[in-house]
Amino acid sequence: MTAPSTSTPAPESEREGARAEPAGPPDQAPRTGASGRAALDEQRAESDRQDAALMRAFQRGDTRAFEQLLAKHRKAVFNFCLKMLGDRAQAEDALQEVFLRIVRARAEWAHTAKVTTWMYTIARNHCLDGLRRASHRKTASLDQPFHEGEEQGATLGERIPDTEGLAPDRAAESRRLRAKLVAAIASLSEEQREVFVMREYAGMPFKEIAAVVGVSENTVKSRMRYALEKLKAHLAQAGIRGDEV
Amino acid sequence: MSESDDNRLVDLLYDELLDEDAAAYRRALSDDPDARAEVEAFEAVLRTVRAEALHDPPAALDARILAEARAVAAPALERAAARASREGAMAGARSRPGSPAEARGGLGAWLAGWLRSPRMGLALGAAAASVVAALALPALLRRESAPAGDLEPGATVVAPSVSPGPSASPASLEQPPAQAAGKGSRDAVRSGEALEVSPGPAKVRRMRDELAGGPAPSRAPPHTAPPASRIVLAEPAPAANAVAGASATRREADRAKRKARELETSLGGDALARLDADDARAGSAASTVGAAPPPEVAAARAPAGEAQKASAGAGAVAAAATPDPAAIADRALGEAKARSDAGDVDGARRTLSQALQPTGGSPAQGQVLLALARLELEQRRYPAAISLGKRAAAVPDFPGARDAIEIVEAAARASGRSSELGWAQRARRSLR
Repeated sequence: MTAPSTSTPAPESEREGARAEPAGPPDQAPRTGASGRAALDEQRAESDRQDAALMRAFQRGDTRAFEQLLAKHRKAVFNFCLKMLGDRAQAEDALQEVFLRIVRARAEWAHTAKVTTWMYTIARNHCLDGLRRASHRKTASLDQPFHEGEEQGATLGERIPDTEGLAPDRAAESRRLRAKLVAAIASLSEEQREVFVMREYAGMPFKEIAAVVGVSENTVKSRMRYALEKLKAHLAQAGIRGDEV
Repeated sequence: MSESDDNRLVDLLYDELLDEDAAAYRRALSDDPDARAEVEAFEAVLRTVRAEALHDPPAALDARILAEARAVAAPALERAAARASREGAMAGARSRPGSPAEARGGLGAWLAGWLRSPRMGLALGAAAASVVAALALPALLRRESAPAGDLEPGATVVAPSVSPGPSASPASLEQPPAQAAGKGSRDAVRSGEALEVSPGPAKVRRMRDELAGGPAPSRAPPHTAPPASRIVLAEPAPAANAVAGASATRREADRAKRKARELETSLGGDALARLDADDARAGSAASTVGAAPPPEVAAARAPAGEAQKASAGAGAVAAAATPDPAAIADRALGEAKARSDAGDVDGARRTLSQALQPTGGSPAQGQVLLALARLELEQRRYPAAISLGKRAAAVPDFPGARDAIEIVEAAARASGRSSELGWAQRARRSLR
């Protein structure tokens, strides 16, 4: 596993690399070791410095700096919103809204704050607002039509994208797994989900998640533990074992 | 399991334990099959989660976000430079000798800015009205027995030499002429509301009629369209407009005011005043297509009863010379961009406004409206941006409707107009 230990989330490329390398069982898991972690920490500190420099440039009116910030974080923020909201269209709106808020509130960013902490605080608040507005609705079923009243429409599970390039049977299997995973994540409480998603999809260290959520790092880890427990139960119930993937 | 156990387990899963602590933990796991099985199960969950690739957001979103960023976060320095450049250009166009101090942005620039402020524009407009009245009244008194029509229209219009303030034109339409002429400029400025046009003294009424249409008939005439060149001569002076407007009936004047307000909203603040001034400087506005004011503007500026004729006339001129809406739009967009890049925002706005009528009813008009909306958004004229964006979105078959809605949404957010925001969201949903 190459999950970060401290500081800011890694650049997207690093995060994707981390995700592409599945963790093994405890005694076989790839270890980064102390030196590896130190190197990662340094990379992340550098990434933080870059973000801060870009944000300062943007505050001075350099829109190209903002373009770079957007390019660097768009995918992670989008995936955070997607997992929090469980709906691609809403996640697209959320991504747009988050970055537009950054644009409008750029003067409010204090140089002492991490850009990513600020960014994900905005994203989290936006997603929670959206979830609360929609709280009267039940958790979307993956098998129900995506839009109410649509008998023939695509289901939420079918709308989960990105199986291009896979063989048809593999793509179908991948879709099935994804659908179950989406449902499993949707079954988490908001508190558990935001911690899990920030860590797994945005690559944020627990310390930073704690700053965004406004609780202690220990509480964050405790929520993570319960989230994993619940996911494990949900996936087992759905007949998915870790060695399937 | 205690919280510290939870934390250690999570730290282990995320490789956040120190090497020696992790090794000790794993040794402990090897002696506890249940605990080991639990850790393995969690790691299997994480494998499942991580097997899913991250999703890519649509690239089109970036374009929208960046457009907003550029619009909202234009560098302050650039804006200041553009403003200075624009003011310099306006000063040059008004044939005012540009002083070195103004060029440097010193006291002269401050004074010029103060003189061009809306308040000063109103005051100057009222002062101009007073000057017109003061000059014209003795002449009229002398002409008590002279045949009507001796007074040349051009001769009475002193105001072209008076540069109108940015908001002079809309204000002048509201300014009751009798009040403007009869009261001091301070009173005229204070009077925000147009008052009922009451019949003044006979001499004033005659002067007013002559300014409006030449030889004075015995009663205020129904509005006859003056020749185009006459409109141009009469337009630059807000006071002259006010006096001319006084010959309208109350109803007609109200209509003209409404039209002016609509245009003020759609074109943005002081656009009309600037269009007036620029057109006046052009000299013979109606003689060439390029200098012709947009029909909507012509309609609003003409005394109320002449609005339709002016609109039809300008539209006809434009339509005769420019048959292809797409070509007109392309040309206007190119020219507007060049002007905007050079800091001449008013020129860009004017160019685009002039392209509205000849492109009317085609998707090309949508392009022009969209560009205008974007321009107004950049200038933080949110109501105008909203109005133009909505008009663009409503153009049939316009492929940029989504962009137009985005602009409405951005302007609505920036100005805190929740109803417009709701409109934008509904419109966007309907596009989907």
